[in-house]
Amino acid sequence: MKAKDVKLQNLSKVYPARKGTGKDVYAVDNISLDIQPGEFVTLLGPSGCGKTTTLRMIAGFERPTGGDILLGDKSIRNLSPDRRDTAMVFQTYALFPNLNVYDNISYGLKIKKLSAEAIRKKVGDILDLTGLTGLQDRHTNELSGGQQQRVALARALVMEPGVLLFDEPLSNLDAKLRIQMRTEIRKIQRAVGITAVYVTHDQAEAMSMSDRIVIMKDGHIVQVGTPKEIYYSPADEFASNFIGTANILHGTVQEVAANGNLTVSVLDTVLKGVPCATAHKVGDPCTLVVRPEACSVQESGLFPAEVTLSTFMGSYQLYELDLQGSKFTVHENNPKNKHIYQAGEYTHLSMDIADIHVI
Amino acid sequence: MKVNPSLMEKRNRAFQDPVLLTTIVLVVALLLLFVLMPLFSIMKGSFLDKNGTISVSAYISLFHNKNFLTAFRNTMKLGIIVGITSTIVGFLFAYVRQCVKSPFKKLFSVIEIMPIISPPFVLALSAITLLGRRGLITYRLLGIRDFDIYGLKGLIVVQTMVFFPIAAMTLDGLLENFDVALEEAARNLGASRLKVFTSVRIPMLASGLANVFLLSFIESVTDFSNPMILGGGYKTLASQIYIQAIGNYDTQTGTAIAAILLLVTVAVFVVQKAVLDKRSYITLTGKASRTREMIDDKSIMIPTNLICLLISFWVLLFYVFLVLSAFFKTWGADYTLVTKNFAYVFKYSMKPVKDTLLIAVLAAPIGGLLSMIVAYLVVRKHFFGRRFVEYVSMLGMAVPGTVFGLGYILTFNTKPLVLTNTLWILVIVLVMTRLPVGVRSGMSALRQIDPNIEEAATDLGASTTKVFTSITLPLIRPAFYTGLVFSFVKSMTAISAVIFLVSANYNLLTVRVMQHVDKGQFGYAAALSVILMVIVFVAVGIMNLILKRLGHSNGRTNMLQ
Repeated sequence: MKAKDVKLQNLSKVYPARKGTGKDVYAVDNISLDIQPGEFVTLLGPSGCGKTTTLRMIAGFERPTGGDILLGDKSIRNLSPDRRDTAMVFQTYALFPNLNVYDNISYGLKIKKLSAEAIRKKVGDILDLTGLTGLQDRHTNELSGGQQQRVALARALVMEPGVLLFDEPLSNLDAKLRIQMRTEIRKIQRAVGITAVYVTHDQAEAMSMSDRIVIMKDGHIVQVGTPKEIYYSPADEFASNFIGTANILHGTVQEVAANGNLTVSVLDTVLKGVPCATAHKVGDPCTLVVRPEACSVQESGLFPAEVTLSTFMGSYQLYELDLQGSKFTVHENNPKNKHIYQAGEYTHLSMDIADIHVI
Repeated sequence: MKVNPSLMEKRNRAFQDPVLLTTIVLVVALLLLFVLMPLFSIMKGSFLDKNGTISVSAYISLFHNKNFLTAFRNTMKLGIIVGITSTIVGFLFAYVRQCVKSPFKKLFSVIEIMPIISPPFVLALSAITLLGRRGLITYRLLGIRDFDIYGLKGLIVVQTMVFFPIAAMTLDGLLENFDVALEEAARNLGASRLKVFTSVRIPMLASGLANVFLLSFIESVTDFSNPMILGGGYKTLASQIYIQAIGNYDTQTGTAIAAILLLVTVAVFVVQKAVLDKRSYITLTGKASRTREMIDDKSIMIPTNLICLLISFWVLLFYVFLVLSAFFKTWGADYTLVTKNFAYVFKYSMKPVKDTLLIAVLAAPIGGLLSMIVAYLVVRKHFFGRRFVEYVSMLGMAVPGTVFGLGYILTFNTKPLVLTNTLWILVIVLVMTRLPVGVRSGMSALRQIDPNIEEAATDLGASTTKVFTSITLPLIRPAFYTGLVFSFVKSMTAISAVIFLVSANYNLLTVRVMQHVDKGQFGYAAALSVILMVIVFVAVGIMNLILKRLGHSNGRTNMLQ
């Protein structure tokens, strides 16, 4: 399998202003991205962020207004979709209702004019790989949602494209199947070693499947990074809130140490030795991000707090705290043998300063 | 960054696909040549006087011409009355079918189908047999000596019978998609059945009813054959075009009348589109909603069923007597049943039978395929001139057949393209007059197909042609086949446009019937009509049988419907 790299260079998609409004719509605004061969990259963002438009530009269904798309170092900007070495798995599956499973999967191979023997072999292999063996004579309306999903995947995979494109492929499945399918897609992608670009608005999907996540908002890229990087070192408040739950505190830089660590005053507390990767000056306002599971509610701690909500969630106790007017969420893990505070109690919020991320 | 308008890029893409580009150019050329040119010829003809100089003399003399003014008033009056009566009767049938419990629903749908698949003039022929000066009902049964079916009242009766089924079927679709939950909500809030009808159903159907009224109005004012047969002294524009241009060799007056009639129908058509676009509460959600509980309240069930039954028997009576009158020895005098009429037409009219069949067999598939191609281009492709293709292919809906016919004569009897006296001018005019209906049904079928399915095919390497033939066409096959059957029927029964274009070489059955009517040979006319209807019924039956066979061989077509 010849996995290819994908390069997006200053890619833009502008829809001309509708009469009367006078403002062009920048669906995708000057984004650049390098995707390595065999890499699984997820475009993640709320609806309208430009992720699907970007994917459709790679597939060739939308023409870029500006910039270029390189697949394996060759520009594919001016190729029509049928001549691109891409294969897409659609949100609606888009199986051909007039063809059975076998004919759906072999559709593209027949257009490539492969020999009947080669087609039979390839389709057989892909049926095995996707666990569809035995269903090849079924009609598409005789399949369950998960099976239709597999056919859509098989139909794209069998083409051995340079890059595999996924447009929210799991959004029509029920919750349990969605989780099962995402591991399966990831397994198959790893086994085949194909480059994949995956669009979703589901952060759990993005976290569990991707080598790298691209967070998008309003046609811009907010952050590119591994799931870990994105989770622990979000680039801004938007990124920190979009992936997982985040507590945000606003403070002022009091001191910058030689190693870059900061002393920050937050609310009425001064935090020393806050790790920081970005340059700050004394007197700068700064934003601190802490994940709820990195915090704890205790008798003593960094900040005095009032418990406003205390709910047992099974694997953790959910607290909502009032920190002098700021709302703060805490997940106290494995609460079975811990002291549980009730709403209305006054207590303290405790955390390890090393768990704080400064934006 | 420089911003190029993306629309230009999309349009330019057509140039990357030579097949697509050729198809677009071909379609545009066909529309220019066979829809716009004939209409242009009409306009041109109406502004040229006998010496070939430009003048408005034809219009000036028309508006001083009492006959024309009367015909204009007559046409409008008839159109409005038939528009109202067809809407009322059509609504009644649709309402009973969709909402009221009735043991006669099969019968009612047969009654709705009959006028649609039979030639437009057969009911007028029967009307003369039954209600004419020596009619079986009026003269024989009731003994009325001076009853005159010819004129306004005869036309109202016959046109309503011919046009109400289209109204019924349109309203049928609206009522079918009417969300049951809305009615239940109204009942739940304390509304009586009558209150629901007047406060929920009628207001929500208002635009649908207005639409149906305008459709029936257009049908009535463009109707050619019924006024020709049954009009008597009551002259209408559509028939006057023929009488002036062909009967009196006065092309200028003919074209001027055609231009005015065209103006009227296009205006009404534009209004109709606006009405339809403006407020439509009925939406297709694709969600299977629960079946409606049929009204079994006797105070509603009995009267509505009774009225529909009476109308149905009335329509049936006309068909039965059409068949009988083909066997009468002497029309209006001797009612012994003989077969001499058939013997005569079998002897002298076999050529028109063959010609008609040949032309319908050619026109139906050509028209069917062209409609699907145009629909595909309009719905799925972005190219410069897409709107033009959409509007011009739909324009035919507003053009009266007689206007088309006259326009074709004017355009194609001179160089560079001489088509008159050929088979092809008949095929082409039938294809073009059926195009709007075919395109519209193709468009609605396409809009129900997820565009991702076609994108998936493209993504897997299929060219535009391959996508169309391997995916799109199979998916819209039900619409395509239905269109094919319908288009065959309409080609067999068409009269208004083709009557201008038949020749010594190629004559058609319907025109032959009119020629017999013209000479007062009602027996021959009836016999030929019966033969025509038998051919149509048999053909429709065979095609339905084949379609059912095809439909059963794969269970997927029904999921698209």
